[in-house]
Amino acid sequence: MTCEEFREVASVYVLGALDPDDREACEAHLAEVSSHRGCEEALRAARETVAALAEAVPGVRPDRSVWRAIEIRAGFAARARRPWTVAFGSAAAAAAVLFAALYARERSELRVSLAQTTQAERQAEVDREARDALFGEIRSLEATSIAARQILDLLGDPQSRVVPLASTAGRTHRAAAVLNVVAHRAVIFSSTLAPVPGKSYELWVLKGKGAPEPAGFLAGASGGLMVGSVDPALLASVPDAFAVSLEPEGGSPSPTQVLLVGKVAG
Amino acid sequence: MDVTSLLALALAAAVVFKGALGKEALRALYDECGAKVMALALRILRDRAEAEDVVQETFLELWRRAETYDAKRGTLPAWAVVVARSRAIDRLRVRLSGARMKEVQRREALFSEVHPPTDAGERRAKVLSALADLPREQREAVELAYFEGLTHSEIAARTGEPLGTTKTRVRLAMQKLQDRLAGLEEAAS
Repeated sequence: MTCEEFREVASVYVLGALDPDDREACEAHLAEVSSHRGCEEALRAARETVAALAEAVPGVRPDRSVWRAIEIRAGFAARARRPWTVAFGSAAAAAAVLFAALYARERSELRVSLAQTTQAERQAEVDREARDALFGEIRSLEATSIAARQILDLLGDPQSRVVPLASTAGRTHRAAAVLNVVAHRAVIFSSTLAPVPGKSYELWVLKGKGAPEPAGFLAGASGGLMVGSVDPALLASVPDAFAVSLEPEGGSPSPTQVLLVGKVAG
Repeated sequence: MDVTSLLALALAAAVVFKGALGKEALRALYDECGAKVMALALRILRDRAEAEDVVQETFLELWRRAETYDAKRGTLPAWAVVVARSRAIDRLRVRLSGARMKEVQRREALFSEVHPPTDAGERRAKVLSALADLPREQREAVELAYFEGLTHSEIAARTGEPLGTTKTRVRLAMQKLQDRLAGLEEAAS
């Protein structure tokens, strides 16, 4: 089979409609060591077409228990904070539902309180604290979800590349940048950096022999994740490297304690 | 494996940073295309419990095979759909093995109503419109492959058409669909 012949049937191959002999011929062709002419591109286009056809069927949201089962089987469940965090479809939906429930509950408690019992007042205070804690977690989850989406969005773009940031001597931090020079976007994230009171993790862009340019900050999200977007104005040209430093709160004009550096491959 | 490859392991560094981000990244993908995966599995299997099993298997497979993901080969949602369809058809084949060709299949329009409903989203409307523009014989041939996992020979046997005619129909249909739907998945991701 030639590359031209393969390209002709690539979409039918991905569809799975080829009979065994034809399918085996395609697989043998793909396994050939010789360089292909357009076969990978044809495969990608075919996969996208086959995936797009799923749109013809109206979406059906799986039962909530499905995600719960995935969490357990993937080993996430032990890290789950509270059952309610996995019971809702999204953090935003959780916030809306929880707010409605707590609002109704609070009104009810208020009536009890007004009706006289100090015990109820105390309980209401406990509930308010619990509510504040829950909202804090929801906001944190939302922040993580947004960060994850940003990173996923960038990673899903074939133009994006991953730049690992290595720890400077004597440290064990790790981080990565997902860079898309076409879209002028970059996100840097780390799960090994912890927030330091009174300090900020500042991002830097390095170009040529110029001084490092401040590019933003890492912000904490839930689960120990720190994530930050690089200032798009600094991505008009491809940077030589990214760096992360620990600075006094609010940042510094130049880096003082560099923790991580990652060189952007040419 | 070098560090760059390791970090590129799909799902936003789910392997290196296996923790909150890994979970949240998988959750984000699940939120993005869980309903699509479920709908496809349900349409193929026509059994909710089995379809939900396929959804589980699909996302667990993405999680476990994250290191094999290569953005150059397709988007994550496309990967999810291709895996889900494959798993659902595997189950269908097991269920129907031996008896499938004798079984009277429901011949309802497998690609749902081919005329876009007025409330369809833009993406769905585009797909339905592309399908609606195919000649009926081509559309049916693709339907049998897509939702029932039939091969050329099996489609020919089912429809009573010559094998060569069936091959041509499927190939032409897929070419037209590819032309019409180019960029749809990438735009979505």
